[in-house]
Amino acid sequence: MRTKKWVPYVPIFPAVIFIVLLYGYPIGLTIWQSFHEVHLLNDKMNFVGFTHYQKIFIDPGLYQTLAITVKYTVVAVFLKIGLGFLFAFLLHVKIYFKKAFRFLILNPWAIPQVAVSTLWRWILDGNYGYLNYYLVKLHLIDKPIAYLSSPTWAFFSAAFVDAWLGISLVSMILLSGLEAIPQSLYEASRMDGATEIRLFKDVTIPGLKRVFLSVLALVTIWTNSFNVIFVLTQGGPMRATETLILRIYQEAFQRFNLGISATLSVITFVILSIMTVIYMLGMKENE
Amino acid sequence: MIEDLTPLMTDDFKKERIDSIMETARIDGKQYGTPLGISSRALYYRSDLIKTPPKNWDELLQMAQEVHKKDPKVYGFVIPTDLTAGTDELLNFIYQGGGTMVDDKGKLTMDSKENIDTLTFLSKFKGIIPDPISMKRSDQSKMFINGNLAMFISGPWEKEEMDKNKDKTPYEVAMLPKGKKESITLVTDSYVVSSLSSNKELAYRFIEFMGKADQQRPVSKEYGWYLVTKAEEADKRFKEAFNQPFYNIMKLGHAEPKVSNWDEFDKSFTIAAQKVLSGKANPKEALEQAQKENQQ
Repeated sequence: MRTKKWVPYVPIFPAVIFIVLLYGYPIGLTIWQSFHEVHLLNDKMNFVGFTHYQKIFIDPGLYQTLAITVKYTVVAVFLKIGLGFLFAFLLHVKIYFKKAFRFLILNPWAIPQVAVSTLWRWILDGNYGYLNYYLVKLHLIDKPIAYLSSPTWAFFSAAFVDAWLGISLVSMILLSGLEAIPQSLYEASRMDGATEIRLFKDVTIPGLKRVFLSVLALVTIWTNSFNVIFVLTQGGPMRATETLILRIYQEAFQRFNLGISATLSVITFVILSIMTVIYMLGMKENE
Repeated sequence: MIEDLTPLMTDDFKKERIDSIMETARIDGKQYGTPLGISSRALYYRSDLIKTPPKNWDELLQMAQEVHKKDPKVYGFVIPTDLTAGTDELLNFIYQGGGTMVDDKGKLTMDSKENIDTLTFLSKFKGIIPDPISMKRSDQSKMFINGNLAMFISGPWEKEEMDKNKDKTPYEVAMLPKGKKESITLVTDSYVVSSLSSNKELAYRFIEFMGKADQQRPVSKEYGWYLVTKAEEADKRFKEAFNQPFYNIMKLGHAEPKVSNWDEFDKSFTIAAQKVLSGKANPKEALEQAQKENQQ
């Protein structure tokens, strides 16, 4: 008996409806609002066409924000992957208390981002923070460092805290990648006289390439932390940490420009969609 | 979207209230709110380190330099510049410098000569004040109590904590040091009625009831606010020595700027001051940029 073509679609229909409502509606509404002047206290919306897009693209502030976003992403992703790989590698080799270390490394991921960021704000406080207190006490610095109020320090502090939160996941994914490399490859290479450096270069790195590229793409897409920056610096000092996601929030809830905020959200959505497509194409190629 | 209360407001109610304070909630002659609370500022100073408090800006700068030079662990003065409360504190200097942020016609005057001169004066504190970028108003008293600060400007709410530590860090209060003139920012909180309310008259009657001196007095006293009704002028607490510097300067006060988007104004002005105090921009550049951001 032949099954009718539409029958397989019936069971997935509720899921499709759910996804459309959960994702499609807000995305559609945001796109709709980007073409309208939205009034907060009533339901009025005036159609303004591409006015918001024009306004944003001629605003030098957008390019400054984009530059900060790109720099922030590069630094945070570099730290996440660099330190994530280091921890994954340390957990992969034979060490004592391996399970305890695995548990510890997962901790930052298990704590809510706002709580972690608040803790770091206390640690990094320029006047009363623990970090300055101990560094001064140990005579490693002469006077306190303004981690959150100097533009350069604040930028790197926020990127570091962002990375600190993401290291757990990266190291766990990379660790699973390391453990998936067949031991026989290492054994055969050793029998051929390969040194540890050669093993790392010719066995570990090629074996990890696919996982590494997936992690790189995912972490780049996910590094759009609103929570960390909002709690630590609120985009300051002097806009040094004002990334695109912060700007979207500020336009909506500080300047009450819902239309402009929606337009910036659409631009972010397009950028992230392009990155997702690149990631998916890369995955397909690797298959 | 706030209701104009002018048509609802009776003459008797208006007569009971201080007009210069009512002005802070008035735009283009329309009364949009009735102030329920007003705060004031004075100079707190370490009476063991400073014998006579500074009377003007030059003396303030000179004393701040001297204190810090004598003991580098103690800052002479501090300028709060963080985004949550910096603007109101910086506006005190702007008004004392003879400047405004908005003129009578509602036009922005952020980059006026007077304001550039004021920020030029404040830039002289560079290097002798702690954290010129994100110093919180609330951190000042902590620094003072810890013995790291000799002078700061704040409201009467600091008294309780300061009194607790008076043995270690003795203090007195004085009038704000004078710039080109004496002035202060009048920061008020007001009762308002939403334009969307379906019971506007009833809401207004409640405001009028709460605004009577008998209801107002315990609220003001509890929060450490100053007077908003004429009947409170006779109250004993305003005759106390501690309250005198706060009370006297209020008569010379200037309302906060009535700008269309306070958050935007607040942020751009504070950032301008942060840039100047940290040496990242000169006063003219910083204020022109702030003015430009508010005109967009």
